[in-house]
Amino acid sequence: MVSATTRQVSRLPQPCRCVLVKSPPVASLVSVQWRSVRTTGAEDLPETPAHMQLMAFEELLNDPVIQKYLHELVGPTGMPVAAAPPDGEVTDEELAEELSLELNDVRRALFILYENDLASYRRLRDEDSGWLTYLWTFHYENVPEQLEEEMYRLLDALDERREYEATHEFYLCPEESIRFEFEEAIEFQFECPQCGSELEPMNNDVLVEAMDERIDDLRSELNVDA
Amino acid sequence: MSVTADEDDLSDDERAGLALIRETGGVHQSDFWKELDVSSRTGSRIVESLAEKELIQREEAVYNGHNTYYLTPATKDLDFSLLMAGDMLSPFVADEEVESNSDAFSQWIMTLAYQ
Repeated sequence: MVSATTRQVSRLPQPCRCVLVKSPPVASLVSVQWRSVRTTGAEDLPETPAHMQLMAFEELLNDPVIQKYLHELVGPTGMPVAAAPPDGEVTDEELAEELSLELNDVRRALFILYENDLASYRRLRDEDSGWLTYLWTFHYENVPEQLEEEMYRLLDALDERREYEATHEFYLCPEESIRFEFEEAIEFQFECPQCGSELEPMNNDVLVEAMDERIDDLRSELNVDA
Repeated sequence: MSVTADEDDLSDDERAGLALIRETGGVHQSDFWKELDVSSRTGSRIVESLAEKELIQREEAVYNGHNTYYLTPATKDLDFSLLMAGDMLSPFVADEEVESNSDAFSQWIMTLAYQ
């Protein structure tokens, strides 16, 4: 993985702008038809942001869980984008050039971040051509909030699953390692439907104990009462 | 979040106040003291103390036509590694549905138990 702290972000020779040939109603941004040109007339656009050289959110990005989280969201191809958030606004063109990535991969990653409240954009219209430039801002200050929400979701799932594990009896096929509920095992007359081996009672105490421990840890971390 | 030394030193009123703010996720100061059944002056003293200890955050707000504060729990420094089982992140991340009987979650629990 690209190390967020050591990556050198060099200055761009000249800003590229990604624009729309026409500006259709943007119902679904993902389906927008993109075309890239270099802008000449859009004077209200900021110059190449010098602060792109700074790496924002360094501390967050050093957390291996947060790295994992971003990777889960954007996938391996989007990871260079997610791992190197510039401080301030940036166009997708600039990012693609900066990171030597396909423009489509950059856009895909940006929209995933947008859907997860981790990036926002504003559009600038070139008055002569009607073309639009998308300027993106990363909002990784929202990462802790998102992960806190994930902790609540995990806790709910663990509670539910723990209840299921504790209130059911299980049988295991020793050959195929397939688990059956007691009722299913009866139905199959305690023979594995795959290989015919005799099903053996399975003790799931270790699973329940592990779940109990994590449930306790999550509750105390989130200040949730049992 | 573990209980910090600061939290151990709280008075009963402060403790109740902090619990209220955490339970509601956010409350206006004008509702806060009524809810706690204390005077507005006591309420304001509790808020002052909790804010000083950085257990809550205050934000100026207009509520029912009055200037007041909106009180929220301080941003918590949570241990996100509780989302991990071994090298696996919670399978519900980036998934809309939370399916507690999914294969992915079974895998996660197995890793948790036998890592």
